[in-house]
Amino acid sequence: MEKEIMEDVKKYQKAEKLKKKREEVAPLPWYYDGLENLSNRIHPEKQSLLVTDIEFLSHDTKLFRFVSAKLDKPLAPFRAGMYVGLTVDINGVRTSRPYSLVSSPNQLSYYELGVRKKEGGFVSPFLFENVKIGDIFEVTEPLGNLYYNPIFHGKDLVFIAGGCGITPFMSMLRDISEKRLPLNIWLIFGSLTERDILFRGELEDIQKRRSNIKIKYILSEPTPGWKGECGFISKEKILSEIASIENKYFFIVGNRAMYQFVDEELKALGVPKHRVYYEAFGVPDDITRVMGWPREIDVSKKVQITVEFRHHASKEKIVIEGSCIEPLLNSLERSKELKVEIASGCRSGECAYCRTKMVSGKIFVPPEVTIREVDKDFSYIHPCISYPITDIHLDLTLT
Amino acid sequence: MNINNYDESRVISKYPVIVIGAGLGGLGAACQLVLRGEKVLLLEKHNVPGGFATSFVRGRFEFEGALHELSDIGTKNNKGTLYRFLERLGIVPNKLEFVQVPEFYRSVFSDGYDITIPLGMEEYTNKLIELFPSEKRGIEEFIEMCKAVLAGILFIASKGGRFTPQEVLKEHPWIPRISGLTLSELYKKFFKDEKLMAVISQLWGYIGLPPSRTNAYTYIAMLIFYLNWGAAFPIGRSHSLTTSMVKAFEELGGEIRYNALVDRILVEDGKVSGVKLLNGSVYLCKAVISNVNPICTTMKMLPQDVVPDSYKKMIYTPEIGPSGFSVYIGLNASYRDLGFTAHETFINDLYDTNKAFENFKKLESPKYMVAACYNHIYEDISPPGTTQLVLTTLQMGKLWQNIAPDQYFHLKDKIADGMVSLVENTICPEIRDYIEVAVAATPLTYYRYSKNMEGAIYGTTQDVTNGPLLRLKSRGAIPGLYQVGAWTNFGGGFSTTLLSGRIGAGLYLGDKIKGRI
Repeated sequence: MEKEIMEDVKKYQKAEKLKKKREEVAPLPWYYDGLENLSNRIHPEKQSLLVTDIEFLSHDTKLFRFVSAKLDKPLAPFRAGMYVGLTVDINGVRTSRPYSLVSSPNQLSYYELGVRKKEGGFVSPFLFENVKIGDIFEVTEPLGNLYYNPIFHGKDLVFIAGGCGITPFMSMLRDISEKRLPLNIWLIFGSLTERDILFRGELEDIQKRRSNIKIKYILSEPTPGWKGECGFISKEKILSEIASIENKYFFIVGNRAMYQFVDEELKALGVPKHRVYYEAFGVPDDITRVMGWPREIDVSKKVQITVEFRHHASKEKIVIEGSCIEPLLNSLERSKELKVEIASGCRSGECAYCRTKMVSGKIFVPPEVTIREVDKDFSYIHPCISYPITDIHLDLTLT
Repeated sequence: MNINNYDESRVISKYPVIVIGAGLGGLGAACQLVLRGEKVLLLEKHNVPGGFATSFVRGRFEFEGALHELSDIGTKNNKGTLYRFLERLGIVPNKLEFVQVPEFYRSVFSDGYDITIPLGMEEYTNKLIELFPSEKRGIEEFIEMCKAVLAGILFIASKGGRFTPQEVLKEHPWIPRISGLTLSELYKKFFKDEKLMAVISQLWGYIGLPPSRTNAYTYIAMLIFYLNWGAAFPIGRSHSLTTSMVKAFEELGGEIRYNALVDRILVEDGKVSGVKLLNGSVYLCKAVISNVNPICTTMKMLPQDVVPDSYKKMIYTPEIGPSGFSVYIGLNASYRDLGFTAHETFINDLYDTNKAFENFKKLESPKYMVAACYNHIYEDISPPGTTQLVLTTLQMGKLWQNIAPDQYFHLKDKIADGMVSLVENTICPEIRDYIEVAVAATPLTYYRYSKNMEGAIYGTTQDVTNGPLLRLKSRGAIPGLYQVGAWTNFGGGFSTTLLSGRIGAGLYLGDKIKGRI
C-alpha cells in the first residue's frame, strides 16, 4: 500500500517536472490570433460604407450600392435575408434605421440596400433626397434572424412580401437561383399598383430560368388593365397558389397591417405557429393602433424624460421632452444636451444594442417584443421600441 | 502625455482596485472585495454582466446561455460554499431561488443503451452496483476514495494556505496521489468493466478531455461535489445569478460600468497604475484583477517590456482547451411528448471517449454531446406547451482560424444539423417537425463574447501537467496584477470560476495587508 502511494506521488512529481521542462523549452510567440481575425471579419463592430451607385427602383424607392470605404476592411459576410443598421446624421441628429441587404450574399464586393421614401418619415426621405455618390455611412455588422435555416425549414418555402418587404427576399432568391439550391419557392408579392412592383424585371427573369421558383403578384389598388390578382393576400389566394400547407415554411415581410392580416389567414389555414416567421416588426406607424395600447392615455400628452449620464469625469442630469407616441430613443437622439451616444441596430427590440436602465416610469412595448425576464425584474428596457406613457427616469451612468 | 501615453485630462477617477470583466471570475472577485469593505470599480465591455452566464432572446424563447447544472449549492441542511457566499451577499434565500435537479444525468448510446444515474452519494453507489454487480467491491472502494478526496479538499480549504505538503500526504494521501494520475489510470485501481468506466466518465465534457488525459483530481473533485451537494439551477436562468451578484455588489458600495472595454493596463515603475478604455477614458488604480484570459491580458493589454519572459512561458506552455459548439432549440411541443425524460442527457455515438475526442479536432458533427432540457426542473423557462433544448458539444477553436469567411455560415449549419440528427437517432425521431427556433453558437461566437483565446470555454486543458495544483495561479505578470477566471486556479465551470475570483481577491487583500501594494 505504502509503495502504491509513493508510486502515485512520484507520478505527480514527474508531471510537475514535465511542466517545468516544457516551460523552459517553450518558444515565445510574437503574435497570437486566437480567432481575433475571423471575429473581426464576421462580426466587425462597425463598417464604413461608401455610396458608389444610386438607382430608382420605382417612383418612391431607391437602390443604393455601397462598397467598403476602407480598403483593408472587406465587407462582412451575411446570410441572405439579414439587415444592417445604417447610421445617419440629419442636422445634428444621429440616429439609425435597419435596412435589409438586397444584394446576393455570394459576392462581398458591395452591399445593396433598398429604401422606400415614407411620407412624413425622418430618415427615409433624407436618404431618398440627399444621399449622393461618394457619401460615407456607418453600418452595423449584418444582423437578423430572417434566413433559410436548413435544420428545420425543409425544402418548401413560401415567401409573402408586401411592398418594400421584397428586399430581403430578393437577396434570398438571388442566392437560391445562383447556387441552384434544391428548394421549392412560392413568392406571393403584394403591391399597391403596377408601378409599385419592385424588381419586376429581375423577378421575371429568375422565374423564367428557374422552374422551382414561382411568383404571384397581387395588387391592392390596381389600375384598369391589370390582368393579375387583386385585393389582399387572403387564405384563398395563398392556397390557390401553393395548393397545400403541408411541410411548408412561411416567411412574412411587410408592414404591420399586413402581418396582422396574413397571420389570421395562415391560422385559418391551419399553419402551426412554429412554421411561420415574421421579420422584426420595426417601429409601428401608429402605436395607438397596436394591440394592448392603453386607450386611456392622452396621445397629445408630453412627458418629461430625466436622463443621468456621464460626460468625462462629471455626472450630468438633464430633462428632455418626449411624446408618449414616439419611442424613447428618438427623443434621446434629438437632444443636443445628451452627450453620450446610445448604440442601436434593429429598432425592433431584438438586437439589445440599446439596453438601458430605467429608474422609474412606465413604458408601453408592442406585444411581440420579448425582453429578458431578468431585465424586466431589474428594469432594463430597449428604448428603441419603448413608448413613455408617464414621466421617465433613465440612468445612463452605468455605461 | 506621460509615460503611458494617455491624455491626463481623460482621467476620470481613482480606485484602490479595478476588476476587468463582469464574467463569473470577475464577479466572484468584485463581490469578495466589497464584502471585505474595499472600494471597487468593475468594468464590463458588454451592456450586460455575466460573460457566458447570461441569456438571450429569440422569438418567444429566452435561452439559457451556458449553465446546465450548478454545483456547490446544496440544500438548507447541507449548504455548499457557493451558497454560503451568496448568503453573505444577501442574495439567497430571498432574492434568488434555486431548483434542485432531481437526477444526475441520463446517458444514451447509439446501440440503445439508455440509463439514468441518480444524485446523492448512496443512491449513486447503489445504482452503479445494481448496473454492475460484479464490480461491487471496486465501486465501494471508489466511493470511499472520492470521500477521502473530499475530506482532503475540505482540510486544505480550512487551512487557508497554512499547511505543508507532508501534512497533506500524511493525513490525506489521496490528494497528492490522484494529482498526477489520469482518470483512466485511477480507474484501473478499482474497475475492470469498460462500460462502468464509460458511465462514470460521462461528465468528461465538463472538463474537456477524455479520461485517458483528464487529470483525475479535477474529475473526482467535480464528481464528489455533485454527489455531496447535488446540482441546482437558478430561477431566471444563470443571468439572474449574475445580475443578482451585480446588484449585491452595487448595494455593498461597488461601482460598475458597462460598455467599458479596457484597452490597456497602465504601468508605472513596473507596477499597475491604472487602465485605459478604448474610448480614451482613464481610471487610475494600484491593482487590477483581470477576468480577461491571461494571454490577452498579458500580450494585448500590458506593455510588453514589463512582462517577464518566464511569465509568458507559463501562460503559453499549457495547451489551450476546447471551445464549445451549441445549438439552442425552441420546440413548439411539450418535452413530455418528445421523450426528453431528464434535465441533462449525454448522447454518445460511441463508447470510445478517445475517438469522440479526436472528433473534436475536426470541423464535423460530434460523436458525444449533451442535451439540456430545462423544462423538467423549470417549467416556465419557455412558454406553455413549448420546450427549451440546448445541445452542446466541444470543438477545438483553432479549427476555425483558417476557414474562408464566406464558408462560415455553411459550416455552422452543417455541424448544427449533424447535432440535431444525433438527437433524432437516439431520443426524439420527430424533433425537426416541432422546431420553432434553432440558433447555433460556434467557437467564434464563444470567442466573440468572451475574447477567450480560440473561444476556449474552460481555459487551458486540465491534463496531468495542468491539474489544480499545477495550473496558473492568480498572481499576474507584474506586481498589482491578478488573474482570475477559468484559466486560473481550479479551472473552468461555474462554481470553480466563481471561486477563482474569490481566490484572486484574497491574494490581493493579502498583498495589501503585507504592504506589497
